[in-house]
Amino acid sequence: MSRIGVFICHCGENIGKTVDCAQVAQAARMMPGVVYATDYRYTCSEPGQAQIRQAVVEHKLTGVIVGACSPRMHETTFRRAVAAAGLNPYLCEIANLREQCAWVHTNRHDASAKAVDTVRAAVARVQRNAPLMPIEIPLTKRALVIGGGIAGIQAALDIAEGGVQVTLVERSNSLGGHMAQLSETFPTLDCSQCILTPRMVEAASHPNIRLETYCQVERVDGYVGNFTVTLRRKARYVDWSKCTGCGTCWQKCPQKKIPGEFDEGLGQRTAIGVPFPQAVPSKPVIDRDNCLKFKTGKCGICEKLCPTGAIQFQQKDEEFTERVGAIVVATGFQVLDKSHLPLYGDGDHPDIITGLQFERLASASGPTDGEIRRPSDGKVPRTVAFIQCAGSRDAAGGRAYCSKICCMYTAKHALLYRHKVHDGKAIVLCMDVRTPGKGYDEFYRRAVEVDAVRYVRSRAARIYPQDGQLVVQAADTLNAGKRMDIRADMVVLATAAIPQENVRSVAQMLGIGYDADGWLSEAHPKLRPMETNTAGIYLAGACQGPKDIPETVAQASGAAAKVLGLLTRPQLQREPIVARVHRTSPPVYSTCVGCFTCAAACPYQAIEKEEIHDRQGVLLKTIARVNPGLCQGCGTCVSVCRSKSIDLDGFTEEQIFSALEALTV
Amino acid sequence: MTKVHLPIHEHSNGRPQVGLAIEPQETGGFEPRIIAFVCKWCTYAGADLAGTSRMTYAPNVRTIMLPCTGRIDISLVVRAFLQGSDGVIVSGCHPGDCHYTSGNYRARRRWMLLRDLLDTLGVDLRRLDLAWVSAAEGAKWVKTIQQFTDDMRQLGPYSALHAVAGDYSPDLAPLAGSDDDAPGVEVDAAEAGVPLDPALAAAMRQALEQGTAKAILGWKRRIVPGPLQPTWITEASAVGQLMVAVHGGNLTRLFKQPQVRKLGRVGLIVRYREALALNVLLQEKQLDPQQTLAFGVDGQGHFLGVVDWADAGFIRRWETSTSAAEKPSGFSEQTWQSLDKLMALSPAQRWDFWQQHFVRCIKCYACRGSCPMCNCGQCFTDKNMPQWFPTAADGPGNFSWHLVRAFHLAGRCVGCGACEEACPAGIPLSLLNASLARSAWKHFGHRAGATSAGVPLQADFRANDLENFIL
Repeated sequence: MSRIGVFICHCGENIGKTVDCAQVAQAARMMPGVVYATDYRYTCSEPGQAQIRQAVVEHKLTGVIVGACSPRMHETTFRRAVAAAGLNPYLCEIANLREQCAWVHTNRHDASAKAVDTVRAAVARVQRNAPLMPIEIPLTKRALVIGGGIAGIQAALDIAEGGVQVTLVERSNSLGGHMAQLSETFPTLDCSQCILTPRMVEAASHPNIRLETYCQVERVDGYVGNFTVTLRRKARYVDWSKCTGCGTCWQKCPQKKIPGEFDEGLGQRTAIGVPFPQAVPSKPVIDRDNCLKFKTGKCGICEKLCPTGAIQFQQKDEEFTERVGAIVVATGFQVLDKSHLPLYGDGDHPDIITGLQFERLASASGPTDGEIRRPSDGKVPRTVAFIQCAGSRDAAGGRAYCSKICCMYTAKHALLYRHKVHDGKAIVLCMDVRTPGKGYDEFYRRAVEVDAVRYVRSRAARIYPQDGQLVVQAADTLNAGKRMDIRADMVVLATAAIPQENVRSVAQMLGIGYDADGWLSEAHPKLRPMETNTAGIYLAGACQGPKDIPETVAQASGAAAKVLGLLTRPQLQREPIVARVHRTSPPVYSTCVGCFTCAAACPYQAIEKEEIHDRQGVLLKTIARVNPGLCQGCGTCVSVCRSKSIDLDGFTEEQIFSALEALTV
Repeated sequence: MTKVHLPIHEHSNGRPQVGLAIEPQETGGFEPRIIAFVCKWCTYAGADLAGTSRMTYAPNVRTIMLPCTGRIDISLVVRAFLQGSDGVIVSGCHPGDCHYTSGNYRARRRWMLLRDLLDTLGVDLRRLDLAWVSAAEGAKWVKTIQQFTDDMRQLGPYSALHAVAGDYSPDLAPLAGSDDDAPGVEVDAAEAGVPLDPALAAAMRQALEQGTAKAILGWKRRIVPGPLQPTWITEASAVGQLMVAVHGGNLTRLFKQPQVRKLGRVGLIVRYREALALNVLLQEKQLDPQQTLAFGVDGQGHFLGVVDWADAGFIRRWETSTSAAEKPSGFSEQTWQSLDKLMALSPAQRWDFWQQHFVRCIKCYACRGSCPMCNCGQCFTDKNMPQWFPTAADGPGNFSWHLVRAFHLAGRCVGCGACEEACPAGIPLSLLNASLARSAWKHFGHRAGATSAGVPLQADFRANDLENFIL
């Protein structure tokens, strides 16, 4: 027989003013199963909680109802209180008498009547509550970081420093990402490689980090704490265990005219090699599509010259699996291709370059050794026009968002140009200049005031070549859109930051969300910016949205802290609100007939097949089974089950039915 | 004057409560009883926000919180009405905002089907409100409740539905007149079959002799007059007993029987309806395609050869291009015409039409027994923890049985009409099934049995599913 205790809180005057709490308590006393009911001024206070604890013991309560504020407010408080008195916390339910009763009604009689109904429903429900125990899930104490840019490096290092093993996967053949391509960084003008390469080396040599470059994630199975990841190590055609990185192969490779991706097509590379001199690991791979040996069967110079015999043209892709407990997604971004901006020089004029190409021109290790020379003829441009928001903040073009980093890097570009070409003119065409950040506005003012960069508030409509120069046709937005023609020797477009091309398939593989633009979705835009809606998978860096380096590093460290918080626990504990398939004794075993409509409806792939065998191993029945590690407790499966063979703990059919019945007498 | 709602009078178990603390108060007019089923993450939080912002609304709504609209089963809604609610609100996160990513999408599809079914049954759709309310939309919640409560005050108590629980005598006046015009399908119970096509008989004998089938399902003549009786044979010598029913029944229902499942590889006569049903059974993993051998027959019983029943071409040969597009699955032309006639009536007339039929239901469950899709290990109506729906053959019992039975066939019923043929009371069950088949086709492009691939209708969703009925 149930022994329910009911505690009605006045919440000072908050509930008591509109609801007759004493009367509600008195009504509760007469409800079936209730053995104790009282009202108190502040039930959440220590004396209020003590009253609950005392009553649980004294009246041997089997269930507790607290009529108080919303369960979203104090459910945890009161469940802890009853747990302290020795009662299972899930035998405590809250009747919301404040937010959804006292505060929204004015008539004392109506509000009190509703309060009694609400309490009656809760009393009926709690009698059907089962004691639930937190679910314990074993943990694999290893993390996977996808992406070897600054976000991935930082996350991997932080996790490794915390004492947890990390596998860091990068699809290209070096760590570094976009940051390695940058010349200097705003607002301090640190050399990007000078601050990045030590971190790359550290990540590669850390005892807790296993680095897998030239490697891709193929498949992710499992759930928080227990992921199985299938990785594909792409064929490098070089045995890295033998290679010493001496460089003979790429110095002698006859294929020298391949446009280099690292230099954004401005420089050239060989068919075998490392993407840039400071690459980590500093071991080459062969680009199969451009290698003469693969294309014609003749050549093999690298193989002949390699002092350690490391070249292996027969190498194949290798798949292997790794078990990890948590995953950090740090897959980064890409910049919009110029070809998407046909009005700006048909998208293929050599002297109209992207910001990232400008970084390579300005970089000491770039194709021009840091001299600003325009790609078409190698001349030093005397006038450079910088166009901001090329593709960003353009709803018609499909990208309504601000790419966030362009205002700052354009200021940096203009300033670097002025430092390198003293008599050059730098003109920035901007919609606005957005410089929130520590030292950012000062940096922009410095470009304007010290380095005489000219900012023109305008919108560039078209760029076309004329007499060996480029004409930027723009609308002067401070002068009623009057047409301006600006002649420049080179134009730098601050092209929009856009999501990686394969982001959707990556998100689907991981079972995480992405927004309409293709940025990966965080669990909550303000309060859970590093988590995804899939437990155990975290986000770091620009895969979630455009970010500058400090923000990226901050988020990466945050994600690492989340991973450490998860993986340093002895095991995983989670709320036991999960679905359960009905089981019964033989010969029925379960009323489930295994139609697996639930499995098709489950948003989390939490429904598995369970085979029931007899002692001889003969298959008797195939039914559904819920994996409690994957189930998030939404209950969608319950609604699609025709035979009512699946139920959701905490919101069982019995609980809801009882509450409904008590409400609609 | 209408009876005043007394929030506290007796407990649901019928035990009167004594010494009530709060005495019922007489008010001026009718106050409706409204139940709201809301999701925890959006609407419940939005309702809390309304409180925190000190907005006010009518006190008629009693809220039940669930984790997700995905968990809001139709049983909850139907039960709330059966228990005397004058209106029901269902509310959760906006599409795209679901805390569980897609629970609300599936709920939306379910509500669309439920609304169409309730409409066919003549339930007043104004009594069911569906609204998306985000955690930030306290004001929308207030507006939803206020508007709905006002509407229910205007509409008055939902006595039409509540009355099915009491002495119900349907008003048949609107349907009086010529019996010929009344919707409903005449079942030709005396439909005889045709003898086996010689080629078919030879193929069956060969299969049994060579062991490619351990048994063959077909029909035989009954001892007493009546439609052909489904049966199975295991010996080649017994092939002569079998007949082919041109219309009626659905052989695949035999797969529900454990003794048939134990037979091993089974051959069966496959007509259009069997082919469709086999596809649904395969989609729901109730059948191993390796364990069946299909002897295809056409509309006249002519042997078409051993066929791959999952082959769309085999199914399509019964369908003219236009009729299949407009009228999915195997319902007869007569059923579609009757449905159109029924839907042309007013909801109140439809309500009376169905009550007139349901009052004859004796809950023999012949409809369930004859249906190949009713293959649950235990039917919802036989479950009593909790007993969502009354089992008695009375007003509420019959109403809820026929409603939920039809709903469970949404996107699954292939229109074979076996249930209607089996019904001793002549209830036109195909009309309910056809109504849902039409919704599934019209709104979601889903045809039961057209393919065995894909996801069951109610487990699936599209982000752009129709939702013009949701606030």
